[in-house]
Amino acid sequence: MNLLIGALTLGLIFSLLALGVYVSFRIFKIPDITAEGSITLGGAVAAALIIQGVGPVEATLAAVLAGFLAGAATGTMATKLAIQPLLAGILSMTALYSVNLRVMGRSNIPIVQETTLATYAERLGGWIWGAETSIDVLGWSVATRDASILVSILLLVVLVGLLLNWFFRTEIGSAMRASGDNPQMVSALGVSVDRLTIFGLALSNGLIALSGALLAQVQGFADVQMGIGIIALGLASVIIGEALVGSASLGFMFCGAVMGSLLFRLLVAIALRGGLNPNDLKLITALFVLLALTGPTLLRRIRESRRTAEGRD
Amino acid sequence: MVRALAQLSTGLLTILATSAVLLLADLDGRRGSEAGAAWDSAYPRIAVVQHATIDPLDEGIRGVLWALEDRGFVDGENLEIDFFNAQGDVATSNTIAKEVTGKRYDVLVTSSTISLQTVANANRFRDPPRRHVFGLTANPFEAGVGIDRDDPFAHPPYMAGLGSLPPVHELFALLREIRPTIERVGLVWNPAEANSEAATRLARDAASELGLVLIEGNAESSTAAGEVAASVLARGVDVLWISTDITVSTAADVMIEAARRARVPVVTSLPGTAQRGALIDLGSSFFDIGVEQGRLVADVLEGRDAASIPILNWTPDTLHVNLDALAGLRDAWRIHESVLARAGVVIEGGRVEERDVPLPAPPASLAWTQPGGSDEAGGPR
Repeated sequence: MNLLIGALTLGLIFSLLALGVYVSFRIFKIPDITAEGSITLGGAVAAALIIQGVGPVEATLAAVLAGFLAGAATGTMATKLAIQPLLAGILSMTALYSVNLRVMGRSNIPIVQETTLATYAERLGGWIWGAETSIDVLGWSVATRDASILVSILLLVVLVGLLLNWFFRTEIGSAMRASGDNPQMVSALGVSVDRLTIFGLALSNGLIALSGALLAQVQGFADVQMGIGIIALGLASVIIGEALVGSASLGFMFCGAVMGSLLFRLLVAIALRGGLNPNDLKLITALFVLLALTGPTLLRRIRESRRTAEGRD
Repeated sequence: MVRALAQLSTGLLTILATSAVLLLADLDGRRGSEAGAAWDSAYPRIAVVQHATIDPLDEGIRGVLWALEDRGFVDGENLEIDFFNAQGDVATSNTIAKEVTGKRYDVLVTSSTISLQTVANANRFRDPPRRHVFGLTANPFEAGVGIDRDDPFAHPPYMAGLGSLPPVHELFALLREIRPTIERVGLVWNPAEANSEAATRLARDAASELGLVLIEGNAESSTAAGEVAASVLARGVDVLWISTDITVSTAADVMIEAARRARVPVVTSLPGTAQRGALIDLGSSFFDIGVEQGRLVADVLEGRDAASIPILNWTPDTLHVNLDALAGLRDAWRIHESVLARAGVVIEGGRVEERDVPLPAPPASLAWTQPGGSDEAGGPR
């Protein structure tokens, strides 16, 4: 049960990353590698401010702003400076490595003893469940702290999802979606595609930084290496999500990205629980993702071939 | 609404199904479950948590297992060991921490700073917390896990372990002793490594105390280390020091070659490098550091209360000297017999001579005698 709650918590935290990747990768059609740096930037800014005594809410908002700026930098390079978007992302990611070290002043900042959003969630738990340190869920004993963090993050993700859904239906949001699909048409209508792209990448990296800030506060430390390989996780979540919900309206796609992220962490947890050779972990994870991606298509093909076979009879 | 649910049903069902699989695998963990009260086996069971597959951590774990066997704990015979490895992924490290603290392991053994942090954070809220012995952590005092540098006994009562900062001050003092005129010490290090950063900070303090100047260069990857070493050497140094930095020490051969071309000696904090061309090594191998951690694990398995174990910085240091590396140096370095007398390994004419210099004994407060048992034996490694 602890493992399940841990996996769901991480899955929800990384679903913000998945939403960010969805915005850049699917809406703007840009595979934005800035994510590797901006998730660490989020954790770094939040942790560095929290140990300075800044409140966790302010520190988290500052982290989002920092991610926003990082994304805007990538966007500016990709549009105004006409650098290949992939290269622009690589440049930002490389630069952010140093920026993150500067922000933190060291490679690892522990914040377990500080007041963080996790502490706030704990207080919320105390308010719901009273002084109990553990509650009974289906016969398993669950620490109220873990349960309240999970519930709080779920609420936050729902809120962020609703905000995104609303935003992309506003005038500017619709223009952003259109600029990813058909930039020529949007510029023909007299809207600056460049400005929309910069804002879109900024929004994407703001979400990713939020994910990093939450991760640091829940795990109790920020580490300069915490972003390594994270883009693969984000892309996998988005694509698994698409395989799950199929082609659908934007709101469903957001739900898909969140579910993809949850599923990814659950699969890692199952692989760990299965007691496999630790060196095979990444291979098994990749196979899981492959299965999640090809599974629906295979099923559909089998169904279709059966239907044609029936039709022939 | 119904259509919306139908659209999301595949995803929701898959998530529910995978969650159910996880819960089914965890039926033993339910409150009041008889199966959960004890493992299937009669042996103690430990979890070994490693952050990544890199040589230093592999060596450290090998040392832990060596020490356990030395004390009679053999995996599969009278001890069950489950190995976990996050393969460098911080998120997976968190999941592993949940997994190992959620089960009833007798001892959790962690290797590296990040594994210490994730396991300690997950363990804090377990009731009761599992016993946890950490190692291969240069500076646990700044890992935020509730350890006090000034009071070795002020730590969570279920936690024990060792800090493994290398003896940098001793190394620099030795260099001064061998060659009083040296001034500039070159260092290549990776600021992303917590352990390397701790060693560098020690070095800065030691350098200023001894009147040395530390010339630093940063390398963020092993491939860059050779190039950065060349640039540090070009800035004019009397000696190039390879710290316990994992990124940089991987490229030790390239750096030794760069230093040879600049006719400057290399000294390291990693024993074993002298055999590859460094002049002096002073420090502990990762294996030996692991052995010290393994002894604590055995203590705890035999019933020693973790709360009674002081958390200290302790490494069993040895001195290795390679006299062949003196050839072709720009400055006339000479190693006196008084220094050689302290060396555990001396290399001369391509021949490696292991001398009978015992490893230093652990501080008395670390030693523990099992009630009714005999003194722990050191034994050769």
